[in-house]
Amino acid sequence: MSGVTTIRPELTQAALEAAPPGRLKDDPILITFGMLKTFGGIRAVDIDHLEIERGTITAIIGPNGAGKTTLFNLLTGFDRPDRGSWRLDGRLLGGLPPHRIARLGMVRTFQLTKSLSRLTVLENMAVAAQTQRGERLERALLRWLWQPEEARVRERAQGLLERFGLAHMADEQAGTLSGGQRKLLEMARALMADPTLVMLDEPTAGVNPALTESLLEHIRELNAEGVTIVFVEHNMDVVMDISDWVVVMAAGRILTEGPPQEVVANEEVIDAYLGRPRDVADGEEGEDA
Amino acid sequence: MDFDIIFGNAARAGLGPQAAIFALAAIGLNLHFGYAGLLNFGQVGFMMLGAYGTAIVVATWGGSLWLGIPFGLGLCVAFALALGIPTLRLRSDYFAITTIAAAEILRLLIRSSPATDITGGPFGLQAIANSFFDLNFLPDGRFGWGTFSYSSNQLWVMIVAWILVVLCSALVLALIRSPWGRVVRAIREDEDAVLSLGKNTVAYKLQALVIGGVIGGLAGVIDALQQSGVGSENFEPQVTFFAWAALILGGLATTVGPVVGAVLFWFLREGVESFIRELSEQGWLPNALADFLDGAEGAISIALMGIGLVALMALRPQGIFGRRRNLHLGT
Amino acid sequence: MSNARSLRSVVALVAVAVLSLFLFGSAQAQDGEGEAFSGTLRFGGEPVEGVRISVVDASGETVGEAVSGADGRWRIELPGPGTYRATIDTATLPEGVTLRDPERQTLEVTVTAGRSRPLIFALGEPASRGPNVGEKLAQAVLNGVKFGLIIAMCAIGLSLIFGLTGLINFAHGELVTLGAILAWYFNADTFGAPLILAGVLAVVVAGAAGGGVEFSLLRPLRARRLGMFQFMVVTIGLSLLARHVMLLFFGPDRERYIDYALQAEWTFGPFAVTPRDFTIMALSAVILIAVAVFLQRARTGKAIRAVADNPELAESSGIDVDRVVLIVWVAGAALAAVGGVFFGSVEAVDWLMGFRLLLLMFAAVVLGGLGTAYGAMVGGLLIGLVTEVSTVWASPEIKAVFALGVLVLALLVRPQGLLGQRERIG
Ligand SMILES: Nc1ncnc2c1ncn2[C@@H]1O[C@H](COP(=O)(O)OP(=O)(O)O)[C@@H](O)[C@H]1O
Ligand SMILES: [Mg+2]
Repeated sequence: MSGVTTIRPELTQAALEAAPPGRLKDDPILITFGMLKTFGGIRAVDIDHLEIERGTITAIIGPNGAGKTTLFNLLTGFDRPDRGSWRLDGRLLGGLPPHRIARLGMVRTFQLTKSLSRLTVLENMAVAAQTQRGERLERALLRWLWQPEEARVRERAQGLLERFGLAHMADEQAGTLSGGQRKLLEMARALMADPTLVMLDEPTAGVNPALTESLLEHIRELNAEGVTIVFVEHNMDVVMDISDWVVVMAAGRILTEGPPQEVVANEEVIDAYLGRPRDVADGEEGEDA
Repeated sequence: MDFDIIFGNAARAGLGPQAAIFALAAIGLNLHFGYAGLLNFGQVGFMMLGAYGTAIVVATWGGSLWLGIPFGLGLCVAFALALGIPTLRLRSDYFAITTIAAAEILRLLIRSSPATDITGGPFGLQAIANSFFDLNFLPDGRFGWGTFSYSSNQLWVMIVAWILVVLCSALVLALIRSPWGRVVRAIREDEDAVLSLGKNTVAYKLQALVIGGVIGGLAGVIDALQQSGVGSENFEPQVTFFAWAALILGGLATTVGPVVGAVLFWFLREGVESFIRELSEQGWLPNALADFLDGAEGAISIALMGIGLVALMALRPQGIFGRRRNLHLGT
Repeated sequence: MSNARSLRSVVALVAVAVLSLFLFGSAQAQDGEGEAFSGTLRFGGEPVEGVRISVVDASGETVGEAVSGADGRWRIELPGPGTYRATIDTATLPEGVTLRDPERQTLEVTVTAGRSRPLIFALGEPASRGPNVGEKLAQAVLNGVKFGLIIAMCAIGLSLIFGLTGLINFAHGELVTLGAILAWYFNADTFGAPLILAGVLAVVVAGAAGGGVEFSLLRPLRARRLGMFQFMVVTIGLSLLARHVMLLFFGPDRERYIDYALQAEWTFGPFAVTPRDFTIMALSAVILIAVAVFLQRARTGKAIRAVADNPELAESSGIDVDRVVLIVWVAGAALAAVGGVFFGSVEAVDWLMGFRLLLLMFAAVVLGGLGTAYGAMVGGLLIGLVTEVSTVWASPEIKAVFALGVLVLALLVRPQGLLGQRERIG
């Protein structure tokens, strides 16, 4: 709310409601303006305005190649936009390196899981801790300086692992986990970093239905604890099930956004993404590898 | 065929100063690649700077050896920063290529005539280690049995060098077991993941590069001490490859791997050379072959080492003592 | 590493070279005396008397001195086989007489048992009558283009193989050497074939060798999913093996082809070029253009670019990736060998030439963008130009330093290389 008025005071609520994509939120945690990223000739991301409401679960949907991952990369500092600005909690993030953005509380996961294979599951978690000052080279050899904190980190990691049903694997190397378990670990690890906003890129892709169910449960729980969640998802049932808000992307742009029920009813969305049987048969689903 | 001689030679090389020098170089590489995932193919550059830095202070500027050594190691830090800052942000293969090129180009620079006033150019620098050998408390004479024996000064170098090997191994072990080491090992697995968790990965990689490079520089210092001089022909790119061979032989990402590997490397290398020398002197072989072998043992043993590396990667890609399990995890 | 060791191995290598020459029936008569250096100093055809020459051994100790006699001759007996450095004392040269190449005031030479080695200290015009900066620059640019074209040709295979399989081939330099050395055997050693025929034969053999390595070694290893690092080690092993086998048979000396060794230069304004170098430049340019046209137009060429761009996608769209990789290995090795023959012809042939060139090739492909053929071409030309042009102002010994400088600068500005693409994240 405050973010909006300071940045674009000329916009009234009414004016914005007339232009659905880029709708204003009451209390946005993340605000994006004029974000553009091109690869060669392709406009991978071209978003005028996007806000994420604090404390909600927002789903981003869209066909492959819509620019969802690229948007994540831009927002989390892993890639630089051609132009555009964005704020987390009112703070401009443009130009910050990814680790600084993560430390400000926006932590992401990756579409292709990135488990740290030859570290144990517990070590995977411990790496994410933000409080271990023994990570500084000058303190690394002074064991007594970091030992007490290490105990606390481990305890917290164990707690999270238990919650995610991975506690029995704590001392196994992460590379031995199944694909689904890795997704869980990656999410648990993101939480270990104490984020205020979590960006999950296709957290349920390739995960079996039982694990998916528990993953979604975790997402809900987290959200209940006050963490804002943005996630990319292809399964509409999942989207309908847990999201408060849905953003539909296609060809780099935001097609529309709104509550799940409203979005699935939208003709454009059905055309562009959900696809009528006829479209799929014609191969016009807009796949863009 | 006298196997006592062959074995004595091999054992002398396997425990001698060269093995300790390569163990140090390989410990540095192990920190670089085994733990931090940095493909450093320019380790010889660090060795060269350690050696030349020391020698320049002593021989060119007439300073003390005890100032020369820190100066040499300081040059290693500078080289690591100069190399790391532009390239560590890049993909690992870019880094590998840049390091090998940088080390060799540095060598060309050192041996060039414009640098002769400082580095001795193609002549190198001599007589630098007197104050080191002044500290030698061992009696004169040879120590050992048959071909497996060392002079007093060699033994003195060995004692110091192997102590350094133990200290550096312990240092790396302690670092790796600390939270710092955990981040470094995590970066080896997946840098983007670690970035996304709020760690400044480039800074960690740079730190690892500096520390491993300084350990490599220490190897160079020992080399300069044991020869009491430096020469650019001792720092060809091949040296890095040999240090890698030692590390791979012993096993990556283990504490004793680089040390065992270096001992094994020199044992095998000298053993093969000695064997070929003995073989060609036996008179069993046809004359043409014996003549061909005579004096060729250096080139033959390196060629065999090449075959050995290919075979090792084909048959036991994790190294002799490495764990196969680790090889196929992830990636 | 130790002096004793390097001395011993150098001696060993030289002995091998001599013996292998013996084996191949082209050994020269031995002197029958002890080891020595000898030579004759001449300036403008006249002997130069009273010039002092001194020799130091590998540890820097002086082992002998001599002063040239009235006939310009000098001789220094050496204590034994080994590597020595002979230095001519330029202060003892008569007024107006200088070394033709001031860089060659000290020569580092290895002597084998029982041999006397002639050393040449070439005396020539005083440097002040040399060409002016403009002429030097023109010549350096010409040389830069010449070497740049050769580097580019050698590096295409290196870059494409990386693009196709993610492999950094540390043995690529040995393919260059192989081409040059084989051509020398066919041309100057046993067969006495004309250089053009010898070169073609060498290129065919080197291409087959490249294909053989890919087919019989690397392809099976790829099927076993070896990591990038393991592949690097394999190519390092191959490089050590190939290099030292070539050393065993070819020996440590520099050799020249028989044909086109000495030619009068053609001059075009400020540029002076021998017909040989001109032909080499023209041929290189034609070959590079042919490669570009092939990649752009031919079916196989398009397939190569497709695989380099995205191997998985290419595979799934029905391209036989293994076949494409094999073709690139054969062609890349053949191009490297052509580069080797050209390089050997412009300079000389020796067992380390390819390995030395590898560093410049590395610089070229990283500069141009790893994995792209055009990047290798652009990068090669740039590296060639930068290194040669630097010699106008800096010592030629350090020209490679400038290659690295350009590389680092370029990476700071454009991390993916000039023509490279950024990696995908996420
Ligand atoms: N590094 C890159 N280089 C070139 N094109 C890219 C790169 N990353 C993404 N793209 C292109 O940008 C578009 C968006 O991709 P992406 O963000 O991965 O889509 P999504 O995650 O929605 O499937 C696609 O057309 C893709 O091909
Ligand atoms: Mg995606």
